[in-house]
Amino acid sequence: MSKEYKQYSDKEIMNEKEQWANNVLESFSGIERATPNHDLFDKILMDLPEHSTQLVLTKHLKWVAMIATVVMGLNVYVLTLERQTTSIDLQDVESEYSLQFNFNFYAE
Amino acid sequence: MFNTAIGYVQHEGEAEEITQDVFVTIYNKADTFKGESKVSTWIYRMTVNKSLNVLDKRARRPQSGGEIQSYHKINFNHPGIILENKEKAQFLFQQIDKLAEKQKTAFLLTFVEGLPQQEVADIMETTIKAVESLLQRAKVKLRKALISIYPEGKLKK
Repeated sequence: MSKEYKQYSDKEIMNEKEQWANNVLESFSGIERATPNHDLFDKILMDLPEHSTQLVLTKHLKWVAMIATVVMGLNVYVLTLERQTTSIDLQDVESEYSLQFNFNFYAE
Repeated sequence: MFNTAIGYVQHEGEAEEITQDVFVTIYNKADTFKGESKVSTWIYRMTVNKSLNVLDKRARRPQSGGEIQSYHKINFNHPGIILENKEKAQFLFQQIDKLAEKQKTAFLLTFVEGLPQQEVADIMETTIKAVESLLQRAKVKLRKALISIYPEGKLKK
């Protein structure tokens, strides 16, 4: 009888310990972010070297720069091609005009 | 940064030093950032590494037991823990401190920092499955350790 009581009691204690451990494991629920003292930012600023700027190009920015360069290059190429075509067309028109105007109609 | 660091070192002064150090490193080494991961991942990784370095140095520093007890960890109160959980969280932080580095990182980034497992995996340069496994093992170890340190005064007997 007393042995049974003892066993039950041990089990109960174990359950209680497990319950407590579970509660402790749950104790981070609702945790908020810890923030440092307000003067930390001033300390950090004091640690940074003055008057030095750095250019940071991330991978994303590099791609944007490359694409922009290609697009601009294509634009320049197309404009140049268009100008050449226009000048050739003008020459053709001029030669046609000169043919028309140099043609002598002899009215008899 | 501060929130991550304080989870590891469990000391406000040291967490501030780590935050300061990470800021200065970012400023000086921003041009070495390759853009292969998110900036936040890069910063978290740096903070975790610096925090682990501090713990490593602390472990190697010759100190008397009393000195360690008075300076670190015992009765550490994380400022973000809600009032009703403060006492229990002290026990948890004590046991987290005894976890292996990877388990500790997975546990702190997930439960103190509240990061999604994918981001934890990115920071630790591993897979989500590995993070899940680390968390599982950490919880088992913590539960065992907590049961073994159950404060006897709490028994209802």
